[in-house]
Amino acid sequence: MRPRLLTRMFVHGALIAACLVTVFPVLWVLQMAFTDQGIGGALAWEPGSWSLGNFRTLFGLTDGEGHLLFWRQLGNSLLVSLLSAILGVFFACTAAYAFSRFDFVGKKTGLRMFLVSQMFPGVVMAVPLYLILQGLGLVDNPLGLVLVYGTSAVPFSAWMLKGYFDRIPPELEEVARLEGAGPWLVFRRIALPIAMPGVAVTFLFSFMTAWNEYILAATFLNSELSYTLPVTLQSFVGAHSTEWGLFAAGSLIVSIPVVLLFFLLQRNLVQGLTAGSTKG
Amino acid sequence: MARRGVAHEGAVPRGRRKDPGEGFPHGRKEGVNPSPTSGVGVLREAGTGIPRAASPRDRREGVDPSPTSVRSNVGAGFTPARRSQGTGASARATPARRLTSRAPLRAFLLLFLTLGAGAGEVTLWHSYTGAERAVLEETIARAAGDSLTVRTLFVPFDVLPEKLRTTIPYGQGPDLFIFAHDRLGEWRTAGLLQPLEAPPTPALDPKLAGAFEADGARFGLPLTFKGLFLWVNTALCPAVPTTLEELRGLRATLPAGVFPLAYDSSSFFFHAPFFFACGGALFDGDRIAVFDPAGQESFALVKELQDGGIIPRESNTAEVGTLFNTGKAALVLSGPWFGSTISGELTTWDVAPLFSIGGRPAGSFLSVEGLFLSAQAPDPAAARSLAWALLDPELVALRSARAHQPSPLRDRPPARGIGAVQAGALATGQVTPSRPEMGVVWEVSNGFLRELLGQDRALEPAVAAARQRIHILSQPPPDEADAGPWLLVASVLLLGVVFYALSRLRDRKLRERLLAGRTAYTFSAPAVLAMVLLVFAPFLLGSLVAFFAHTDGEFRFVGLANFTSILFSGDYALDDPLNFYFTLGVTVLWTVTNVFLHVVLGVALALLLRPAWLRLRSVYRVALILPWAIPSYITALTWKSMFNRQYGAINGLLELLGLDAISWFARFSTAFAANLATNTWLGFPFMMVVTLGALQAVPSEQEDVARLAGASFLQRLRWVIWPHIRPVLAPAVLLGSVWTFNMFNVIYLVSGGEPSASTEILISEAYKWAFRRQHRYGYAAAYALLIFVVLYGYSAVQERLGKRGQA
Repeated sequence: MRPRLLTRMFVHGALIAACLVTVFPVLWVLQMAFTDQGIGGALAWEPGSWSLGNFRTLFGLTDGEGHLLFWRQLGNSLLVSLLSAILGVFFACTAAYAFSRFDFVGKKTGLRMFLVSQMFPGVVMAVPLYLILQGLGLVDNPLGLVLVYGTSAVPFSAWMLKGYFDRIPPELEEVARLEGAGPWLVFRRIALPIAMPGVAVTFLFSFMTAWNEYILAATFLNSELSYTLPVTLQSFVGAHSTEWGLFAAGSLIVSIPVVLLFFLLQRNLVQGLTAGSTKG
Repeated sequence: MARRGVAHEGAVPRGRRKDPGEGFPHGRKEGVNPSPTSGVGVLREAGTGIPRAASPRDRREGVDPSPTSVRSNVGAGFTPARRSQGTGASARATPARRLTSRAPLRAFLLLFLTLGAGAGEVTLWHSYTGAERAVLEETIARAAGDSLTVRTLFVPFDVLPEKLRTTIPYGQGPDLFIFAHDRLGEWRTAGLLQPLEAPPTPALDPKLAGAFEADGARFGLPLTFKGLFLWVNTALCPAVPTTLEELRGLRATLPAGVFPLAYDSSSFFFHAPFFFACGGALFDGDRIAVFDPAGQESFALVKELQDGGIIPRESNTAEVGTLFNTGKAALVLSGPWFGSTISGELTTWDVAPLFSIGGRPAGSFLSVEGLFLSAQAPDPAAARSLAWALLDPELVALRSARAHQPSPLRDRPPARGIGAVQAGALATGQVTPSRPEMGVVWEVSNGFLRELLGQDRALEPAVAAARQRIHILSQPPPDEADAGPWLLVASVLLLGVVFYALSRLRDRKLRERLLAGRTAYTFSAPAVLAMVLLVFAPFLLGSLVAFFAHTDGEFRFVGLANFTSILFSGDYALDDPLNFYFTLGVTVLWTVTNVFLHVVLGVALALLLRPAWLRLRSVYRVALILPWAIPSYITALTWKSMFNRQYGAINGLLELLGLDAISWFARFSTAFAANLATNTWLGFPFMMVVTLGALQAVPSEQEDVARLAGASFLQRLRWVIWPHIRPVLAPAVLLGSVWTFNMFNVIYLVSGGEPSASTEILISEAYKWAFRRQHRYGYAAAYALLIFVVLYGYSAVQERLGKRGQA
């Protein structure tokens, strides 16, 4: 059933207007990345002035000993973010399952604590966090970062996944349990596969947390070869002046994997975020 | 003539043009909005507000007449690096420890082997980028020679100071580091430095060397300095004015719309030449004297220049660059870093010394970049020898040739070019004081200038307000309190908790329930353990600081004094941005308006995306999610530049509609709106996606029935769709509110708290206390705890309301 032309025009018009607003600042980033115009000028589309110069400079960055930095740091970023995402998914899934399926002493407190942890202002936490990581021997070690990133996305992800698990009818698991399957097996083989959209979203969030962070990375790591990419991006923002071209080019590259993930996980995102509101 | 030489440089084609930052964007949190990570996001050092640890990326190379004369190693007579060969004790702790964890015995053997070989190793941290970094690495390689291994590490300049504070006390820091001198005071009192004596030769410039002296000892060696001078568009201004009167005279010769002089007039750093020429002094003994009559004279002077059209209204760094590049400004007052801003298309430019005012030379602040020796350096001799070698005249010459870093040595200044003007700036300039009180000077005087020039406030009330602010910000920290009773209370509480837990454990039912929950505990253990260790423990530890006052690297227990002075201080009126309740009000307004807009836009767009007949849906959807996917550290800055007064896209749009351009950051309402627009753009996709999912669950039969019954769209929305969206949105709104409440990024990057810190929210205020105002960590932690209490209260209320709503 197609509605009136007027309605259709209104819907498309409104969507196009909204997209213009969301895309406009991004166009600016694009222009900065492909030209040497910087941030001050107006948007001007002169194809002749576009070049890959910024990207070339970016790819050619080296450290004091002449090692190429860009690809190495891209690799670090990917590795750290993937590991963080996997760890985050593991933490969040197991915890959310426990909070969804079982009744136990401290369940309410635990759930509230997850929410409460979102309220901690980061300003007081950096130094203690450093001390703790040092106690674990994880300073100057990407694994320390993985641990921190993986954990920091847990409260949100667990909240989301719990909603998802809540919607899975318990009878499904009951059958398996009667056949003698242990809780872990039930979780792995039944609950987790059904919750896949939620898991995908958890993965995306944990990944993004790690992918865009630079302050902890620059604080905890002591070698440029182990830095993640956002740290180098920050190096273009100087005390006196900013290398807008390089900054924008780097930001574009940094956003490619995330945009890709968003694109691939679109459907999951929509389902997962709403805690599997499609009834089982 | 100094200028001619540089004009020649102007003809050298430059690779690219870059714009300078607006203000000094630094210290921001990680990027995503809304971020599920606000628990761990860490706010960091911003610095005191002046440019430092510079990174002018001036690509013009081959300027100096003799870059090739530098030999491949340090001069034969000056090889201090070699001396470190014999010192031997340089096997560093870190590699040794790493080895130990693998095979202790072998590691010990190796350790002794390294000790015997005596290979020197020095770690050096710096924040240089571009040409400065390249030449630093080259000079280090030459200075180190074969005997010394130097590991350099770049750390972003907004992270470096806090990284030093964090690492050096625990032996994880560098041996040497390079930074601007003005942190000397606080670093020394925090125990991060050890003395670093000057080399016997070559002789250092006394003014620059003096920047690193404190209490009769020397704590650093100058590498170079940065001061202000004039950049001239010679096409507009063939004869460079040498006095203020000549500058005024320029007004008549220039076409309308072209300003004789442009500079970042909202920053005291750039105002300083006027201030010093009018005889201003920063301190009178221990008192901040910026607003004494001499200083007032300089402020009145620039206001008059602005009113007379000599300088543009309200220009920031980015706009100054655009004005110069488009031929709208004849002169620009800036430092060497401005060179990288000049467009390749503008060839008629030159540099010149500052004009004089009333017969007195206008001197700028001098920011001296130098080498510091860390207190933890295990082999100070090796580090010192590297520092000395870096001051070799040939390497100094190389740095000024390649990266325009003027020499710190007492030698003959270059006759022409940027080097000559910089030497002139050194002669007339004043080394920025490194006293911790400078943080207050920067904050108050920058805010004052914005009020005076941006908001056209009259001089006298603005001065009175600034004095009041100085009074508040320089109040001494609270007195030490007796910790005894507190410890008693704490231990009684702790004992009580332990006893209660033990007594509960004797309850058999509870024990059974605990046992029954075994599986659940196992499942949740990994996440809970990690959360306790990496989220709760750091927060508890960090919060304890709220009961202490931090001065000069020492913590004193002060009980509840920080809280009482935040909550019950009578110092500020309710409408003073420094008042806690004012900031709380702004924060609540900020959160409510943001979340409201996020939800309304998110739901509306989700509904628009919903019709089954809609084509191109996934294209729309991806375009609408973009703000979420692109790192907010760049998009927020893009938004800020769109709100520029002269060239911003938003004002362009207003003018297209026949409206007047707005100074967005001059008034609270518009500055708040700018922040709000940015954060709405960043935040609505989250709510949209949440709603999209919820909409999928609306049974189409129900809707069809409603439609057949003649229900209008709004009625269907209210009675069929809304009941499905509401329960899904409720937790998202709760989380969104918490995130927005602590959304430091946008405030920091877009309005920066302007005007007069009125758009600051609680979290950015806490951040300022921690890093800008003499490191009052205790005060900042108290703010953080109060933020936590407010949010906790809010969530409890919302939970109760939610329950009632469901019942």
